[in-house]
Amino acid sequence: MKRSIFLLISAILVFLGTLFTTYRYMMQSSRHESDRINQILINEVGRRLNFSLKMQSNAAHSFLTGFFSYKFEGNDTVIYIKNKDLVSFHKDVYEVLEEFVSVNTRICAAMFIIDPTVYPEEGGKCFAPIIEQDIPGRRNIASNLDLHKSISYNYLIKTGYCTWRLPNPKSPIYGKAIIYYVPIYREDGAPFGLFAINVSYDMLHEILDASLPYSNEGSSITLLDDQRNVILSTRDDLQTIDSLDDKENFIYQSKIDGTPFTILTTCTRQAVYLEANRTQRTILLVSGIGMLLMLVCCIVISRQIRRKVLRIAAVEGELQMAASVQKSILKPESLHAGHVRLNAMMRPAREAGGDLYDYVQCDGKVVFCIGDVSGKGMPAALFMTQVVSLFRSIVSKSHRPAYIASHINDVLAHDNPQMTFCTFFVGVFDHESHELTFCNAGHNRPVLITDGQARYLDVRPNLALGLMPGFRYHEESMTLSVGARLLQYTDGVNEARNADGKFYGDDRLLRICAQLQSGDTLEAIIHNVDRFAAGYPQSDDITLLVIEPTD
Amino acid sequence: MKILIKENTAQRALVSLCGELDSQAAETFEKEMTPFIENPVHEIVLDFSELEYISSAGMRTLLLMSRGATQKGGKVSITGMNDNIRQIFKLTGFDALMDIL
Repeated sequence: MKRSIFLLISAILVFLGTLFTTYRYMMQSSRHESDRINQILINEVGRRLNFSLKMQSNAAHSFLTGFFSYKFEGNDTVIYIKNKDLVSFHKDVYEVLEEFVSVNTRICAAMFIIDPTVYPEEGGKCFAPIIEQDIPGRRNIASNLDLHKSISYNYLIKTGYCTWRLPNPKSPIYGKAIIYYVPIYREDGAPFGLFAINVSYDMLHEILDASLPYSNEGSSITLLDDQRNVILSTRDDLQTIDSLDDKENFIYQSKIDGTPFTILTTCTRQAVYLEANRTQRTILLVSGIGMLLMLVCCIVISRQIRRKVLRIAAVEGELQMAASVQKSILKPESLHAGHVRLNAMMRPAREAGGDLYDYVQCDGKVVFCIGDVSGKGMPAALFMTQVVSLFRSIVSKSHRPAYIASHINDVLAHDNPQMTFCTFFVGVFDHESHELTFCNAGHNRPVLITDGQARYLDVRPNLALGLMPGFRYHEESMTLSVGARLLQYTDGVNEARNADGKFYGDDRLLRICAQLQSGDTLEAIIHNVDRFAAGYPQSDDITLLVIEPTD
Repeated sequence: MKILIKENTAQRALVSLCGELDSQAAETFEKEMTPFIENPVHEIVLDFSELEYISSAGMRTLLLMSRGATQKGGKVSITGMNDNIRQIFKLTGFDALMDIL
């Protein structure tokens, strides 16, 4: 039980270790996947923005080439107006703007901001004609602007760069549009002014929204200006990027070249790890059930094994006890008294078979018996002790074999529901007369050995003990002279088997008995039986008893 | 050991035993025969012609069966016994207890 729990715990630990490693790996790869997707997203949005803005700036330049000249000085392009065109431009400016705006629907307004020095008829004021997409009419929006004090204007004129810029925060279009400025000069290099187109945030919005499906769940795209203010975001709640919690989100950003914009994408960690978490939960659930089943199996199996072991131990214990009960009551194996030598030997089987032998000396006689109780194990062993006790108590009263057998039989048969019986041979040997009186109660016939010859004694059979109360047992007598031996045995001898299932048999027993020399012990017979069995286990008790008159 | 029920009528059951009736087989035999003993059949005949060996436990089972059947008004008899087994029955005096045909 302890061992199985230990095994189970080890399995769980190994499993958890593996799960943890797998989970880490999944998190990492999810993170890499998110990084990759967001990089692609940023590139894509940047590409689209650039493309769209380029379309508008190209439109602006193709418009400008109708009235202005382009000359290239090294890497720089200078756009200028010829002196002869100044008057006609002033006259037609609204018209051409209107035409330009009408064909470029993406552009929400187009304007010139012309230096006060160019047209003295404007009274030294800045001339800024504007045509808007949605508001009809021709307006001059900057007549009061002191252009020469504008840092942006001076900077643009000075550098000559065409750039996208955000409007002045004070401007009404701030937060609604971005502006593309083109600085323009006069033939002599003096400033002419700026051309500007406004592009609505709506266009940017469309680009961002169209890019969202390329991102993964829980993502957002945000456009930041050069001051890192939020211009546009697909997340309505995002007002400033300071509110972004990088514990909850992965944040990626990249500046877009040629624009004042930075693209920032966010992705919630929850969304990135969603798949990893889901997989982990599934693994945990499935393996949890598996572990539980394993635990139940372990418990059930260990209980079964325990029960089996206990049962085996109990059986083993009973076997040993039965054998020791049997052994405890037996007399020593040899007796030499008066004119007789008696040798006995018992070798119990693993499962005791209830064999018995006993002898008592009294009044110049020796009374002996050998027997075999039916069945095996504890019941047979207990029955055997009962037979031996009865034998010992009756021998003190009578030395008549038939009486002894009858008495034991009556007591045993009196109450014997299981019909356990005992085959029994009892003999009484008189030291002086060498007369042997005996009664065979259902036992094997004894072997008489004389002068190197052995034969079964033709005895009168009687019923085995314990079966029929009042059965009349008969006794017989013979003279056993010096040199003769009478061997009694139980069926553990003649019914010993070899691996082929063959019995040792009566004939083999006779043969070995005939070969016995006077000094040979009973072990010679057991040796012979063992050689026959050739290692095949002994299934029944083997008991031998020999009685031999001496001078 | 094999136990073959060759005939089973209200009057008579013929049961053939093949092989060896040792202590293990005796247990099985006892269980198999219980219904015949419990529901008295007029005569239970045990055919021993294929039986090669019988142990003391086997003989005890026969006695128990015989006694059980007698108490219920039935009868157990044995037929076809080989010489070896007949000898054992004779030696133990069982030939007087059992009805041997």
